[in-house]
Amino acid sequence: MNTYTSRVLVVGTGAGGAVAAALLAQAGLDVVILEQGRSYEPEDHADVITSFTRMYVNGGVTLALGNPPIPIPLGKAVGGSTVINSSTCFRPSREKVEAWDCLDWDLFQTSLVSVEERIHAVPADESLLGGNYTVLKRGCDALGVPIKPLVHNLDGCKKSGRCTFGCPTGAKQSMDRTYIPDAVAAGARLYAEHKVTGVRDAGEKLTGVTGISPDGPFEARADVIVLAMGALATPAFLLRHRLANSSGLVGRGLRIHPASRVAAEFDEIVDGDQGLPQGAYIDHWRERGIMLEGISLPPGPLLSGLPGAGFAFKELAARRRNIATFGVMVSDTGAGRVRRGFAGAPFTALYQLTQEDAENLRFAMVRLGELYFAAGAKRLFTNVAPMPVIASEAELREFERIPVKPGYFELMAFHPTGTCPMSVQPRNGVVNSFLRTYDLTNVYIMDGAVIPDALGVNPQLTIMGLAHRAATLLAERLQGA
Amino acid sequence: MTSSPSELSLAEKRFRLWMWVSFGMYMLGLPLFLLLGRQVAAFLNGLPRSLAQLPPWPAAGMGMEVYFWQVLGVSLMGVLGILCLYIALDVRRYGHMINALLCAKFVSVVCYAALFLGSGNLAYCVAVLTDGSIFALSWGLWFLASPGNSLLDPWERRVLTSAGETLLPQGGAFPTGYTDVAERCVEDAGRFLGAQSPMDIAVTRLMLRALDLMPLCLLRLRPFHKMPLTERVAFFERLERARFGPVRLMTAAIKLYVLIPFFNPPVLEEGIQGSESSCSVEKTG
Repeated sequence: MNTYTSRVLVVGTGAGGAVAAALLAQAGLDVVILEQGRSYEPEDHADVITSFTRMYVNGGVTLALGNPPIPIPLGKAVGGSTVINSSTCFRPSREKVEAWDCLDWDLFQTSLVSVEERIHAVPADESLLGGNYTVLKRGCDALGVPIKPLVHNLDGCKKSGRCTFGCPTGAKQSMDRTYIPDAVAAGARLYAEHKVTGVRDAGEKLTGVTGISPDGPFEARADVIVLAMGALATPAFLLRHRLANSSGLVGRGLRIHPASRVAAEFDEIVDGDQGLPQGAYIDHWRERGIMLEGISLPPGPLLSGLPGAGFAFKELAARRRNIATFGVMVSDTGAGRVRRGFAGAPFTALYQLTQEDAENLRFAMVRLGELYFAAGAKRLFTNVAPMPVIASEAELREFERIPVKPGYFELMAFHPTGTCPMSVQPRNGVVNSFLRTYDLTNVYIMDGAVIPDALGVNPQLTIMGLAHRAATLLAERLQGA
Repeated sequence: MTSSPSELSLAEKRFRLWMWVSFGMYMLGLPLFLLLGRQVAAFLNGLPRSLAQLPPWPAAGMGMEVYFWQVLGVSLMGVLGILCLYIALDVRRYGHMINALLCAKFVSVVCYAALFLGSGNLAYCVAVLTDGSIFALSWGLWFLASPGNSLLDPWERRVLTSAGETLLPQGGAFPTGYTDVAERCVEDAGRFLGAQSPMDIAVTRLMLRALDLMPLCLLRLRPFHKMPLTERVAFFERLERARFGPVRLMTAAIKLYVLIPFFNPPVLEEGIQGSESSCSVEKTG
């Protein structure tokens, strides 16, 4: 059995783990990083199926169970989900952060700025925004709704339109291109394809973890352990080993930022995939927790989300370049939970969309539909059960009136958070404001699990900022020790 | 030619072991029932009354009719035992013969359940539990073993191909249909499935089977893969509009397993001609 010993052990290399590992290593601490996925180079990012099978947890099939069941795709690679996300960077709102009552906004902002500089997070140039933006902007201009370019962590984007399957040009400044190389350059030891499955000496402290790798079983021991496996795997791991759950909150409070999308068919060629898949956003209805963000996909995934079959569907497939798509997301009013997995699954997620969120989603889809029709769309595809296709403004009005239930929607989610919440009160949280667990004095959680409520925006920058701040404070403490 | 045990998948080995056990049970049970079958009721009635307050099972009579049914039952056991032996000897060649055993057990479970509900006799309940367990175990092990070393069994591959043909028939807006590239697409779908957990693979397989059987459940005359194309298209579109989320998820997942492989390179270099301006898909990666 291989045994790795270090001062700090970081499990997971996504937005939280990578930042933590880099900062701790740069502070001169001996750091070991474990990652269950492999390391990939840009040229490894090939076709869609290869990406799904290599870089997504469970081949891209991770579901939150409910009606409807909701796919939550997760990354499995050095860099975690940052390798397969849309590279969108959003700062959390000041009100939201202050409501958590755990962080000083000014100090937190310092962390956010530092992260933004390192990952090159800047608003996307208009030339990168692609056809999805061009057609929707026409509708937005007609109806007076502002549409804005999103901030992305990119450097030298070649508009391959493949962010979510691994950037084939290396332009995306995901963790495997930024903080992980920083960590390794500062002396951290990275072990890819090392899956953590067990723990050592769980009492007041955790002294190590065990797991499997291609070379066989391994054990990693450290004084301090940072868990950063993601908001679904981290709580499942804690529940499986009965750790850090005196509050009873581990795995509860799952927020997923439910998402759907509206596709629109135009007479003109849109070529939505010739540019950033998620180029622009509309937050005009943010007081309702609604965020509209661009989305484009390669033909297979795009068409599999459109209704129909037979020759009519083939006709649609032939006109796929004329289809624009934009995503709708709502800030969750409900919450799900994560349980330990069974039958080989790393976790089980349960989530039931609330009626309020369903109504909100429909509201967002109708607003988006209005923008599309104002832009000249011929018909819309909602995939909402009673009216999957909307061919006119009159039908859109009807869609606005019909009763909808959560089960009618076809949803996805990309932003799981909240399953090990941060709080200054031990009874209200799993970790304190330093992201240290209340129960285990040497275990920290630095991933989306610690975000205590629905963020309402893409969370990667918030996770990086939280990890940056917590790792800076941890490094100071360990150096002092 | 019998398949070598070393070639068998773990699931096939488990299924084969169960078939050996079943064969042994039938061979043991056959003489037992032949000689002592008429004493079963007396034995069950002899169970302590504190165990179950149910009416006693009518004891078997001794007339010719009883012997007739006893011989018939025992001969059925012999047939099932031989079936199990054949399957155990060559799972891949004779595995599908399990359907005969499943059919027999299904009928007996339904009949015993009806008799138990009608009479309340404990013996029928015991029979339901015994045959029901055998049915469930045999079906489950066969379900897991049936694809062999592949991920989909021939039935599921047929359903997937027919779903592909439903979504992308030959001709129309561009000439290439799913059936033109079905072999590669099914292989790619298998690659896609291969990255998933055993439970998710099982769920996908069940979805394909459910799609095929749904028309029968809705009183159509044919399973999905045997319906004419136009009927299949209409049926698939109807499922897509179902208000029950899991049904729509099923159609969405099947669409994914059809369309992602179809539009994944390298099919496109020769495939989607004819509407070049609006349908050519660039080779990526």
